[in-house]
Amino acid sequence: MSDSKPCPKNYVDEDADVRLMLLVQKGDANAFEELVLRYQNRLIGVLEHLVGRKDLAEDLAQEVFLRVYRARARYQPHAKFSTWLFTIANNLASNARRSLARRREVHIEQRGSEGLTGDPLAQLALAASGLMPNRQLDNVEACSMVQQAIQGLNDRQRMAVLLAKFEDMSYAEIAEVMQLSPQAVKSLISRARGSLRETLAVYVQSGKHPRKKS
Amino acid sequence: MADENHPSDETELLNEQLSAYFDGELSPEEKGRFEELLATDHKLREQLKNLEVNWDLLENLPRDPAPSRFTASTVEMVAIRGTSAEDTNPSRLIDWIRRVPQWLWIVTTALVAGISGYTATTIITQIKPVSDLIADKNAPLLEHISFLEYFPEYQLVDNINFLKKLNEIDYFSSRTQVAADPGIIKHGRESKDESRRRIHGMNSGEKNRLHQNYVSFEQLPANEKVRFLNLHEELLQSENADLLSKIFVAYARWYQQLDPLDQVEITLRAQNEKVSYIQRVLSLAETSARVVDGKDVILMQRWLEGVALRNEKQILKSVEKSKRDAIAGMKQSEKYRQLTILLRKKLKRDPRLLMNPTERQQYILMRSRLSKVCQENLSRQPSVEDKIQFIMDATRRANREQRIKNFDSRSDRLSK
Repeated sequence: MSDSKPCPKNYVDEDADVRLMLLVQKGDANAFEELVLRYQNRLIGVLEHLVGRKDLAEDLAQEVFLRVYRARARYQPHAKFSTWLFTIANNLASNARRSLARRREVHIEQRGSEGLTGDPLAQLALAASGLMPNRQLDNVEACSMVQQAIQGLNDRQRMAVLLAKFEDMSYAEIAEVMQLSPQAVKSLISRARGSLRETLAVYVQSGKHPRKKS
Repeated sequence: MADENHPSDETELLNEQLSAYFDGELSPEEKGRFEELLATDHKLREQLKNLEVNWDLLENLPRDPAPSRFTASTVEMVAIRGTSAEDTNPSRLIDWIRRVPQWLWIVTTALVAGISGYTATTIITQIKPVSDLIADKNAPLLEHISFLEYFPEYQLVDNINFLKKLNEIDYFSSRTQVAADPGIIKHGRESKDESRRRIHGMNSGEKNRLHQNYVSFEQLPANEKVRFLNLHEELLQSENADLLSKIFVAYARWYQQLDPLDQVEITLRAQNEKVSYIQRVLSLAETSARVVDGKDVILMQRWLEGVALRNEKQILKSVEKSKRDAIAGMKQSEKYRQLTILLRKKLKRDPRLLMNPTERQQYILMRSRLSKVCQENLSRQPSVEDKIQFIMDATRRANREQRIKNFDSRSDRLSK
């Protein structure tokens, strides 16, 4: 987010989270806690798919909140709060991925057929129980297959897709988060969709689990 | 349309338009043109439909919630790390250091060394070791030792009424029944010779703590010192001194393990608001203790199902024959579900079902695999009945939330 950009909108009136951040700036501890509560699940959800590890995603999310707190004095409401937050998250995730790659510790956690928890037995138990009442095993399979499809995207495509899908961000907002032009985001998302279409095609057409891409 | 197997620039452009149209990112003119194209090209309409299906499938991506302690630990971590190195830009600092002339560094270093030497000498000459401080039989440390041992704790208490109000809160009063006597009252009544002997018998850590407390106390203004000593005297003289001294220590221990932000909130509050705020913090802690991770719920649910299956005959005895037959004819997954529901009812009435060795062994196994937070939550439940109730509440709540989520997503799809 550049400070030199003109302020096109009044984000203070439009975005309740911006107002919370301005309270944090004034030293309101409750406002900060509220922001953590509002964003923790969203942030961990996105980061987990970006870095491929839940523990690392949680650490990164904490680091994001720490950066937010430390930057409170300099904060200017030039964008929606979520855009600013995910910009920090994107930068931190990129650094983390680079550092993981350097240490050759890249470990993409495949959740496989167990889906939600990483524990196959636990997930099968969940499916067989009343916790997921309808078409349990279908959901588990869909979950695993979509997980595989999303991991098949490159880092930038994955980030763009996650922000568009789960954060309902416009191309302009995604562009700001990822420091790209809106046209580049348009192209990125379109290509990501092409890749998803290929990976998911087998499943969509026949309901069978697609083969892993080599 | 261009051939899918040989993507050209034109195909790519069309795909981009399709994707942007789906996202509502086309300008009104572009949108109009694209819709005209859609109206005539059935393959494009199919692609759009396919794109929608794929996009909806992403809803299946697992997105686990943050662990239950995440908010508290984040706020705690930020409270500790948030202010350190704040607003410090290393490159700017290095630039500034480079610009400062060398002679200024020499003068500054000499000054810092001088001031440090002077301060160290002052501290050394003013602070004597504990043994010296108790040489005189009228030494303040000896006179107020039972107070000074608890000086940090006294700083958290405004007056005796505050302790009495804390005693009305279950969390603290329940702890007085099991807490060891902190010895404030006993030590408050000992003679100076006994106190001196006790100090000599202390290990170096205890002596250091006492010394630190003494130094901090000595730095207080005179009226504050009097206020604290009066408070201590009032506690010793109060009718239920033993009980209040336990409340006093229980509160201090509780306060010390709070999030730093909560500590600040409590300290800054006026006395009349303090107790209600403490109650709020306690109730929030209870609420968060009820939150259980998804994985824990699954393990608990699986355990409940195991109990249900192992005790199938006994459970089915309590239901009517028609229902028994209906359950026998169900698919396995539905049967497990029904048995678990019946088990819940049965356990609520009679938790002794879990007292046979197999069930106890399974319970211990399940418990050992739960997250640390969940294990702690279970430990807090005072009886077997309460532990079972906790497990059933957690799984029932998760069932309900899942049903609501399923219902919401179905409604969303239908409304689209």
